[in-house]
Amino acid sequence: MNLSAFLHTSLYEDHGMSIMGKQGKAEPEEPKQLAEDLAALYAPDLPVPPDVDRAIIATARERFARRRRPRLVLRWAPVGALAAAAAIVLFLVPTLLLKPRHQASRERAVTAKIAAKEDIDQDGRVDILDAFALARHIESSREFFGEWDMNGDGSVDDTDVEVIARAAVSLERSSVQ
Amino acid sequence: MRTLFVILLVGVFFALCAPFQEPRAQEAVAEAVRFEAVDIYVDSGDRPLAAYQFELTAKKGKIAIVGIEGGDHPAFKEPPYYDPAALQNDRIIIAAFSTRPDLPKNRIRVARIHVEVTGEVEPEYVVTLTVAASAQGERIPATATVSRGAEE
Repeated sequence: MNLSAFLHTSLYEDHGMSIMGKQGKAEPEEPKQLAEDLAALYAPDLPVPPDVDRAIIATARERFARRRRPRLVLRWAPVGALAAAAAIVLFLVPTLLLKPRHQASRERAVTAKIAAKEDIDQDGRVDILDAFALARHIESSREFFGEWDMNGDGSVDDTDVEVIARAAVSLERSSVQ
Repeated sequence: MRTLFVILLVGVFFALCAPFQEPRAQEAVAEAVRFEAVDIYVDSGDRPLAAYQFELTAKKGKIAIVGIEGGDHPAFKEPPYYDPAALQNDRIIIAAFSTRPDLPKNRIRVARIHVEVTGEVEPEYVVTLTVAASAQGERIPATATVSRGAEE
């Protein structure tokens, strides 16, 4: 007889049980005492205070919440990326593209202010007629106005005519007029 | 989900980089280049022409202005005024005046513009006369026309 069979037999004998069935077969029958003992042994007879119970539940919830956060991040990641892309397109690209235009318009505005000085015939624009008018003035030695001194050298001469003529053919200035 | 996120980011990156990319390789293929002279004529009728200003642009074709000469008449023989920025450009404003007593009348060539033409498309030039004036500085009616010279 091996150890397992020995223990089995001893256990049943200790509790006054027969290991023989109705037809003489060796079938185990659960003794009442054993069932009671086993129930007493595994019964949760330790009372759990409500505070401990709540603390355990809170801890469990917190852990479950931690597990859910990465899933939330993954779920909203494409939406966030799309929003970031839209923000880049809306703000960065227009800034890059429109900035030179703003600068150009500012430069044109400055150029337009200068243009008034070179508008000798005061027709509202600078063209070759302004240079021609000043050239004719110089040739006829008529009275000069200080404001016709375009290059600021203290005299009105052919170099001032050149300044006006160059302004007249300026491509940048022409886009203002 | 992560794969989708990465694909989206890569797509956004390339979309933003596209405008800054270099021209396509096929554009780099050398195109035929030739030079031609474009003569500008101004017709002031029976009024002496003392000053003119016009703008020349190319409506069709790919051109670059490479040089400017004066006209036939002594009053406009010297190279006219132009913006140096117009060189290697497809648009130019040209102007000149003369205080000489002998001024031209009728149709005269006032300038010759040398142009580099790239590609097979024939350029179509448009000249706009801004102003033409008499010896007294008065605006006079006049017309400007373009005549394409011989290929060089």
